[in-house]
Parts: sequence; C-alpha cells; structure tokens
Amino acid sequence: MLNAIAFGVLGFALLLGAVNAVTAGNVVHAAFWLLECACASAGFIWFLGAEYIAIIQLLVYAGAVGILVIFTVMVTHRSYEDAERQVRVAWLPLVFAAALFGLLAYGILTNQTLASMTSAADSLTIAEFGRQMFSPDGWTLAFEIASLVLTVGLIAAVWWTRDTDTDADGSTPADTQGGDA
Amino acid sequence: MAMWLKALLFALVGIVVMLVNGAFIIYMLRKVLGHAHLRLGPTELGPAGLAQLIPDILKLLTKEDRHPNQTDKWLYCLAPIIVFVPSLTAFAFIPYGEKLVAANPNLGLLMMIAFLSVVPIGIFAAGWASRNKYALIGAMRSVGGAISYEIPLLLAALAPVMLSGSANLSDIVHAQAGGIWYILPCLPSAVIFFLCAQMETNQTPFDMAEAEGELVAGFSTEYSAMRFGFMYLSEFAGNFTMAALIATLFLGGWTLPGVDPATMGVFGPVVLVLKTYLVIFCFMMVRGNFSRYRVDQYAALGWKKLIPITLGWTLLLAVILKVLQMVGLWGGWS
Repeated sequence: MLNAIAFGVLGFALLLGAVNAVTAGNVVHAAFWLLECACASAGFIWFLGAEYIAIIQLLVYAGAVGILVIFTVMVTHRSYEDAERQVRVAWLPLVFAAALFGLLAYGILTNQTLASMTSAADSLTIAEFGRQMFSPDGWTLAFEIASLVLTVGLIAAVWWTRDTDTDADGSTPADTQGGDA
Repeated sequence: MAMWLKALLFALVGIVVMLVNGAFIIYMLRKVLGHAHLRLGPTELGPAGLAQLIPDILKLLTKEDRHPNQTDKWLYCLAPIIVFVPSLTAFAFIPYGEKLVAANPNLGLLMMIAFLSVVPIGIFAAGWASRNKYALIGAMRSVGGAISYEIPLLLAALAPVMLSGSANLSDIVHAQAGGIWYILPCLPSAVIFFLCAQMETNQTPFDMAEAEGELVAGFSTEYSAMRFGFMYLSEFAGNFTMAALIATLFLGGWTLPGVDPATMGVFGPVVLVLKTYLVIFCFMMVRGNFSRYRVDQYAALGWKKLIPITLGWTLLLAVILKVLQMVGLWGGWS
C-alpha cells in the first residue's frame, strides 16, 4: 500500500518534471525541472532495488549534467531576460517520441526474460562491482559509451540556450538556427 | 508499516539533532572564534554566556520575513528547502553504533557523497532566484567550486575504501576497530579530505560563495529571518555531516582503540559526537587563523594542486598495498 503511494508520488513528480522541463518559458526553470526529473527517476530506480544505478543517476545526472546545463545557461546569458524563450510545439519529434515510447513499452511488456528478472543489487559489494565493471566481458564498453552523456549534455545545453530571437542584422531565427547549434 | 515508522522516527531524530547542532555550533563559533581572536565572546547571559543562544534564536524566529518583489517567487522559496533536504538525508548514512544507523547500504559512502553533491544546486537556485548580482556571483562561484572539489573529495575517500575493501561505512569502522585508524596510513588523503570538506561546506578560508568582504553575503544576500536561518542551519548540518564522515573514515568512527566494539553500547554515539565536534573545532581553528582565498587562487588550488596530488597519491597507495600484499605483510581483503 505504502509502496504504491510512493510509486504514485514519484511517478507524478517524474511526469510533472518532464512536462515542465519541455514547456517552461524560462530556460533556467527548465533546467531545474530537468533536475527534479533526474532526482525522481533516481528514486524510482532505488525503489526497484538497483541501488548503484540510483547513485549514478544522482551523481551523474543531477550532479554533473545538471550543473553542466546550468553552467552553460549561465555563461551564455547576459541578463535575466535572455533566459526567456518561446515555446513552440514541434509535431514531428512528438510523433517520434510517441513511437519510441510505444516500441519500448511493447518490448518491455512482451519480453518474458525482462519481466522475470530480479535485481542482485542488494548483495553488490564494492569488490564485486569492480569485477563486473572492469572485466573484459563486463560493463567496460557500455560504461565508456555511457560516459559520452556529458558531451551530449553540453551540446544539448548549447543548442537549448541558443539565440533564436532576431539578430542585430535582421536575420530571422531560421537563418541562424544551423550555425549556432 | 514498521519500516516506515522507523524511517519517520529516524527523520525526526535527525531534525532534532540538526537543530541542537545548529545551536551548539552558533555557540562554538562565538566562543572558539572569539578566543582565536583574543576576545572573550559572550559572557553576560547565563554561565559562560551560554544563554546568549536564546536571544540569538528568538531574533531569527521573530524577524520580519522580507520578500523582495523582483525575485523569482517559486525558486526563491524553494531554495532553502533544496539546500536543507540533502544535508539532512546525508546524515542518515552515518553509523553511530553497532545497530544505530538509519541507512546502511553497501555503497553508503558513495551514496552519501551523491546526496551532498545536490547542495550546490540549491545554493545556485538561491543565488539565481534572488535577482541580485552579488547573489548571482556567489551562486556561480559555488557551482564552480562544486565542480573542482568533488573530484579530490571522492578520490581522497577512496583510500579508506581501498584499505578496508568496502564502501560500507559500518564496515570501514569495523576494519579500523580491528587495526589502526586510517588517518595514520593515509594521512595525505585525510588532509585533502579535510580541506575539500571545508570547501564543500563553505567554511571561511574557502567560502567563495558568500565571501562577505566582496559579495555582501553572497547567495544568501536577499534572504532574511527564518529563510536565512534555514540556509545557515543547513550549512551547520553540512558541517556536522562532513565532520562525522571524517571521524568515520579516518578516526575510527564510534569505536575506540583497544576497546571491543561489542562492549561500546551507548558510548558509541557519545564517542562519535565527541570526535565530530573535535573535527568541527579544527575547522574553526582553520577559519580563525587563515585569511580568505582569492577566487582565482581557490580555483587553481583545486585544479592544479589537489586533483593531481590526490590522483598520484591514490595510485601510489594502491601500488604500495599491492606490493605489501604480495610480500605478505598485509592481509588484504577476503
């Protein structure tokens, strides 16, 4: 019962954060909503018993990526008014996102091995973790690929905060869109 | 249900301890810093000026809660909470005795530092929402500091993990109870951890985020009354948590050398709290005796000195341990 309540609260927080991160008119607010999202999903992962992934979620997403995004916003905006942006609905990405969600949901719900998997995280000690992380048939490659997330975060932050208003020379947002990103 | 009640009880105890700790640190600041500056501190109210705390706290509680109208309303109100909650949560991972630990996960050390890494985000929120240039500069310095000092902090914390073979704080305490305190074999790590802890908790030689000589009060400039009180309460809570972490990692935690941990009983928490305040006393002596860094010196110290030194020392320690293990002088981990 209480687990269900916690699940509901975390789910609500996650959805609220996601929706607001996309629709907030102020980029700094959007960055904070994104952080809220990261913390809520860390809570979710913790609830599922994968304690290590939850810590990484908190350290990497809430700590590093969050601070990186905020830092980029800070150094690219000179005044508070700069942080305001226009929110436009882009239908094509929406369709893509919905399709991806449908695909993932279908994959997860129909996969019997995934559904019956249990977490071994409770017994994970630091030595065991090191062995899994750095053995050749372990997670080394996946971890290295995942560490690209900081670069992706930086690029996303630059794109996100780019100047979409009309420039001094009178060019429209469409002219500058490619160059700035 | 019992689990939830237990969690609630621990949270309540945590809040009470944080409030008492806040009051105690205010008194310590007045007295310790006073004597460090050849002053007496408060002497009039109560024995040794102890009752001075009551008007101090009453003043905080009864001041007008001013709310500047240019601020970012939501973020401005939320920031003290974002700062306070992780400080309080991190407190749950400290072991006070054999059974006296609220949360004892296998990777407790990492988890605790993960929670503490959220604090600078709250400080940033406070500075940005205040719409004040001094507050904003303070906030940016705090975020910059967080990037440069969390790396050496984590690397320095690796030394006890390597020696004990576990990232569980209770295991680290037990490993020290059976051998020696880790401050002896890994003194450089202890010193670097001590420095980074001061930077992480905004202590004076490194308090770039509030540097009152330059930035009025930095990120807390626009806060008054109890909101300001909350900011300070969480700073003191951070002090306590960091000091307790130092006591746990390097000074044997709740155990004493030569005493069987099983017989410690109720003295465990007492020993840990005494060690914690000893570390806080050291923080204050540094605070009273060194002048504030310049912001460029502060960044240079982190990136050019502490990170290379900790990397080198951690590598050296690992090699030494491996050699000792091969020669048979060190038992290593099971």
